[in-house]
Amino acid sequence: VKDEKTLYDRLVTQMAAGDTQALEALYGALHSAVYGLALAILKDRGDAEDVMQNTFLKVWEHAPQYQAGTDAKAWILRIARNLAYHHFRDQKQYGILEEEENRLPCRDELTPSLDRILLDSLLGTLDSCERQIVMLYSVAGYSHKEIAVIVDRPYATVRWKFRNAVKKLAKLAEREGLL
Amino acid sequence: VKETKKITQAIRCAVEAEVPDVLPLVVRALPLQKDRPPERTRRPALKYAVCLAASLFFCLGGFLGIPSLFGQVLSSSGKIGDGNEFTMVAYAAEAPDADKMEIALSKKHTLTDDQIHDNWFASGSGLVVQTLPDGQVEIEFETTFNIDCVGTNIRYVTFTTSEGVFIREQELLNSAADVHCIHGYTMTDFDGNVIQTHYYTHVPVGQQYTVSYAQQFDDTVSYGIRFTKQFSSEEAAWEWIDGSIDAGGLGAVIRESLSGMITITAEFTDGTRDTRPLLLDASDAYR
Repeated sequence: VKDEKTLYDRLVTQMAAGDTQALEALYGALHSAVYGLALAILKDRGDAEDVMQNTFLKVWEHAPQYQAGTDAKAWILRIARNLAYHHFRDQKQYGILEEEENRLPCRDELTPSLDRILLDSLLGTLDSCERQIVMLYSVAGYSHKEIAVIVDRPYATVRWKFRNAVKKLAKLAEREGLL
Repeated sequence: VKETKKITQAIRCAVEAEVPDVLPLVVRALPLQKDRPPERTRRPALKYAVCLAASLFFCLGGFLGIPSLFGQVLSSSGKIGDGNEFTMVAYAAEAPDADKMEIALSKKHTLTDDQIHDNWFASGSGLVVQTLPDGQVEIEFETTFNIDCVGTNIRYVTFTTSEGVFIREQELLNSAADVHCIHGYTMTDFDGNVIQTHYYTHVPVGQQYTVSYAQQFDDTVSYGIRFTKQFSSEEAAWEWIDGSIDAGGLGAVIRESLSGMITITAEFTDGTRDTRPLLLDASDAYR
């Protein structure tokens, strides 16, 4: 974990100096986590893609302001989260968005895999906070304590919500014969 | 644990399989180095001035809606005026309106081990067990709920607790101004726009929290109580397994040790007061 933190720190520092290869490396390491978090908040794959793109642009723009040693990965995920909320708010303001809880994940032409069905269940069944917690745990590999910092919730709440969410998904997966 | 692993793994695989590659778009859109915004200058003096002003404001207390940090518990002033009524409904913090279920106001519940286990994942509760540096084991149980004090001629409602810490939590989107704030934080985006603000007000034993009748129906607010108990390592002989409860050991501790009473006092427009005790044990958020 320490090595990972040092690596991300170094990459952001290099980006601050204009190194695009550092951006590529950082993108390779974190794009799934950024996309997953944005998807968890927005429940829309197209919007999540926009947020992912903007996140890396913001990271590039603000890399000189990053304070080394303060956890670059958490910093980037917080940017993604802020942008996703911003996106959500803007859409709501302009009347583009339906009620958040009524939004359903869009289906594409791909035959849904079992994993994909579970992901769609996550988007359709869990509340916003639960989705973010499960996504940060599953895709970003964060512990409950680290997630608590990113989602601004008490540790106990995060842990309880995570358990609650997994329990719901497990029930659903069992019912659908996915597990 | 196996189930959790399977589910989280499946979700990771699904996200990794569908995540689009936007790197070429990002690289094309990169601003030139010289176009980057200048580093923001910090203004610590302003921050400290705001903190000092806030501290003075809260220490002086006594304003409507602000907990008086040095206040005394209100006492009942005897006979209640004619026509004054006061009933309460308490319910789990995240229960939708249709599911509001009343919490017993004066009868303490006796929990079975099965109930504790079934309710472990229930809405609005959390338990932290941690070993302190001195070897003691600390259990912190926090439960959140909503209370509506409904009645006629009520002007103010005051909360006090006999055990633990009474908590008021408010979550606001796109707003930063709230005079109730004692503990809180605000998330902003890079343009300085407030995205989300959380406020916590902690009211320990011996202090009180007063809101106007109308303020208590604020949808963004929920209440909670936090009990903290410490045990020596010998006392804490129960088995603690993450995410489960040893019904005989830890369950018994939750059942027996973590309880307290919140006293809710309604002050009516004619100056008379009436109080209701709300006994909470570890079960009350589980309804």
